[in-house]
Amino acid sequence: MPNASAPKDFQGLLLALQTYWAERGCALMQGYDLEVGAGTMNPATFLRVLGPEPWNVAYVEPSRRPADGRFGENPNRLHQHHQYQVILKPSPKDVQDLYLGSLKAIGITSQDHDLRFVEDDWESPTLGAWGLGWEVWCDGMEVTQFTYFQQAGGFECRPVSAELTYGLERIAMYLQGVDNIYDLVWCTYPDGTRLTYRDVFWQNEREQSEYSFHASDPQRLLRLFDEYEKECRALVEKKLPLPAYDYCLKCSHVFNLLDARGAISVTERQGYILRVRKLAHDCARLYLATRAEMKFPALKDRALAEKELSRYGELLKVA
Amino acid sequence: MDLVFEIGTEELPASFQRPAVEWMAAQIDKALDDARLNGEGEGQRANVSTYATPRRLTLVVTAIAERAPDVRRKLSGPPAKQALQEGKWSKAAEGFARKAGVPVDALKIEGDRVVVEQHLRGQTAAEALPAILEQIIRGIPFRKSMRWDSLESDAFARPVHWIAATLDGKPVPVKFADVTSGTKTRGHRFAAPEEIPIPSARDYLPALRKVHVLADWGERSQRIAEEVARGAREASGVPRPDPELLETVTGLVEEPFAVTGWFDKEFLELPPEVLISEMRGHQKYFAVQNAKGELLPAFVAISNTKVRDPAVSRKGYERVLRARLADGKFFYDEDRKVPLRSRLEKLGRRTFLQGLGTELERVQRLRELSLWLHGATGRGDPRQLADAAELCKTDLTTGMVGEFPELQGTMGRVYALHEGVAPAVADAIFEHYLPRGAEDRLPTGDVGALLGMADRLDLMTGLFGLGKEPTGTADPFGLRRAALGFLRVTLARGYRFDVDEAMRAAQKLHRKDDAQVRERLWQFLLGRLEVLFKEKGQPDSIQAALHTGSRDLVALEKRLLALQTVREKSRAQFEATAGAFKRIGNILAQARQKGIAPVGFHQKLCSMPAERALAAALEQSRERVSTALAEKEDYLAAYAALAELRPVVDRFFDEVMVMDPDAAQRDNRLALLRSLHELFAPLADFSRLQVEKTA
Repeated sequence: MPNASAPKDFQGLLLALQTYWAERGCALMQGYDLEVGAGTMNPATFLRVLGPEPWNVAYVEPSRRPADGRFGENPNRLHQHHQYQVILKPSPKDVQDLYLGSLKAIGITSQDHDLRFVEDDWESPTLGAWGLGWEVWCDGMEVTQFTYFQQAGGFECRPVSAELTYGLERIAMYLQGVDNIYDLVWCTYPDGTRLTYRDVFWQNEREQSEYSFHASDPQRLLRLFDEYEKECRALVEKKLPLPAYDYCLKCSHVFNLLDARGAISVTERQGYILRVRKLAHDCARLYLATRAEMKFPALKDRALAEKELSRYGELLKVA
Repeated sequence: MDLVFEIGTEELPASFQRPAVEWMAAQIDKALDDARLNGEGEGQRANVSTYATPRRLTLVVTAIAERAPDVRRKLSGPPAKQALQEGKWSKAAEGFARKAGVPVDALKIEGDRVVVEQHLRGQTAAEALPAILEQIIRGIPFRKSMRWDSLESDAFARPVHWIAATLDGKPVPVKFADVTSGTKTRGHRFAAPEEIPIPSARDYLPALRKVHVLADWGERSQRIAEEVARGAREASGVPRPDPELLETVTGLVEEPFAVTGWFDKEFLELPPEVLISEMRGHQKYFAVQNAKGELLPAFVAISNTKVRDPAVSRKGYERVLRARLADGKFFYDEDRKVPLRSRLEKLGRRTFLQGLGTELERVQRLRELSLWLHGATGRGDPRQLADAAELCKTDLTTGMVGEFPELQGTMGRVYALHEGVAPAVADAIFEHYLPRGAEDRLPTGDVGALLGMADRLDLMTGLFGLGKEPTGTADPFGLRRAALGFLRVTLARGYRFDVDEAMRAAQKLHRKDDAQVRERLWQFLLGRLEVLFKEKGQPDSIQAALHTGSRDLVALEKRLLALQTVREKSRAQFEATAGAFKRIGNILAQARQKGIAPVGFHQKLCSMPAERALAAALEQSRERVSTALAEKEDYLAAYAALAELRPVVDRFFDEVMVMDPDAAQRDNRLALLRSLHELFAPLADFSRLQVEKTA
């Protein structure tokens, strides 16, 4: 099914994407060192898409979705999967072609596959973020979420960033022709031994599922949520947007754990989402304000930076 | 002259494409009218064609006038005494001249005003079109628009990559966002990505076909249908008809190719609705069935690309579907482990709508309200109603409905039958959602029908009680659809009950009793009834029949039909009768305004023969009319009686003066007229009819 140039194993897929995007001017970064549900939540996306400073970056994000855990028994669903996240800011005019080039680099070409851009509007209620774009289909399978960011943290994105989020396990399953995630080959050792996805993650999937659905202590989690929220607010008060945002992420993860545990009623759910959104908004505002205070140092065009600053006059009062 | 105007974009949402070009066509037609360029020659109009694909929105307009005719017109300006001061043109006059685009010398005084003769040179199409096209591209109303790159304004549904605009082959300059128009277009994204010259109006479709783009929506849709049929034949079946999916897929491809795929037979255990939802919902595959309409383990996917080896894509399509069906099977098996009735507790943890309690509380209200409707109409089996009400929302907690919300009701029915619930109850779980839209079918049984009415009534009274009524085009809770469903089911099944009483019963369950809210809801329902009855009578007939005091919907419909029948059958006679009744209504209203409250009618006070004749005729027909109206609901018989009375009424007006100076006479006559008016009031509110005034 995939052609000869396709990466043979999971890490080969990562390497191919890393190489491709590095060659196209992206800084290669790492997944964040806190629990996140998606690469979007990494400050390298959520905060960096704000404001006028350019930013081109690519990274692998281990993404935790406690409610999706299946005790290592479902061949398609995981508590933790991996996203390949690319941010191109501002969105280049040829971003679709760049993207299609990346598919080619991993052995997926339009000569062999039905590649389609199918409308999909992305929205994250907890982040106060939304954008328009597509899910990209390869022979009917969604392989990438492609979004033009319009808002993050409740702020208009100017300029607009293009966000490409590849679902790595899915793509790897396709490339390797396996029907069970756990049969994916992660890499092959020099002696020919294969390290499989099962070897790497199966125990983690079982234990994390057990934790999310049964072992977590909802009362403690609820207290943690409150504490993390307080910490986030306190750090916003102290004008420290990045540490504050860490605690916003903590709140978001605890909320996901509570949700998976069924400890939040439908009515309460909306309330928690709004609380996280408020934190995300405050962090975004403070981040923007501090960047503005530094006069957007990453903008090479200083005249443009001055012009942009005029837009953020209100925010500067915050900083 | 011929215009070709193509906007080349990144992939547009399927549902945006046709509305966008239809809007563009209407706009250019109007703009050409305004510019007096619409058509070559007197009385001719330009021909507007539209084409749309995921990557292009196109207008092709032929026979545009080359140049608009010149016009002369006289503009009148400020008053002469302000314009000419001490023999000199004032500032006001200068301003007027500047605005009119003429030198001050051209101003003249005519009467008491300054005027100027304006000579407007007709614009050429080439001059007018750039602005027109820019306005069009900026104005297309998309449901959602976006910005891209560093652009500040000029949002569009997706980024614009090229604009091709030519008038008889010559470029028309148009600027939008970061794009300046040119004379090039592009073919299919993968099969012919190179730039090519934009074809002429005549060659547009054939030239694009050569670069693998079927630009015409109808042609592409037709080709897809053929491809799907061909694909289904490969699986020895026929496509399951699905016009909605066909429309969507037409918006997803520029050049369609069918690929047939198969899935494991074991998945045919799943209810067909589930299989179809899995195939069409996420995957946009067409289901395949045999001659008997049974699903086959096959599907047809429509590819946008003719790939080197279709077996590769087929394997891909099959893999995705297999994973989805396995998920579906998982839900189906898991869901059936938990009986519907034991899901009620879960409903208690779901909010129905903010301010209207949990789903469980809603279900309890539905139970009471549907039983109330049963009591009021005498229809449906109360035990079945109570059971159906309790179960009707339980499938909302199933994994399958969580995954496919459109299967609500369908899965409830499937699971209920699986558990051995009585078929009438299981059917009602599905049917209470009917009709789901204007085109949808209605429930076939009383249980589903009454339960569905209770559901809609509960929603409407609940939300109206919270002040969440639809405003303008905003109707976030679908109240208009709910109202139409409620009315359609009531009328189609002939349920007789007083809507006000029903609203009151519904309010009681929300622990409220608010006549003002009921009145607002009634007015809202009347508005929907007008829409529903649009085909059944002229607007004033509908108004007259609806405002007859009754809150029994079936009665209102009967009144309208009778009124319209009589009106159409003997128009002249009816107009005269209606006119006379309007007159009576007016006299009574005027008397009321003057504070005259007529007391009872007394035969012995009648002083004139015409008066006595009317009183006698009225007495004679009273019994017959009351019976016809109240018991038999024979409105036509009542109209017949009304027609018979007319000569006597006419004579009365010819010979008798109602507003007699003698107050006793006057009041007695008013009382007689009121009695006559009241007798026929259930037929129609004649004051709302627009009829020729009769002498």
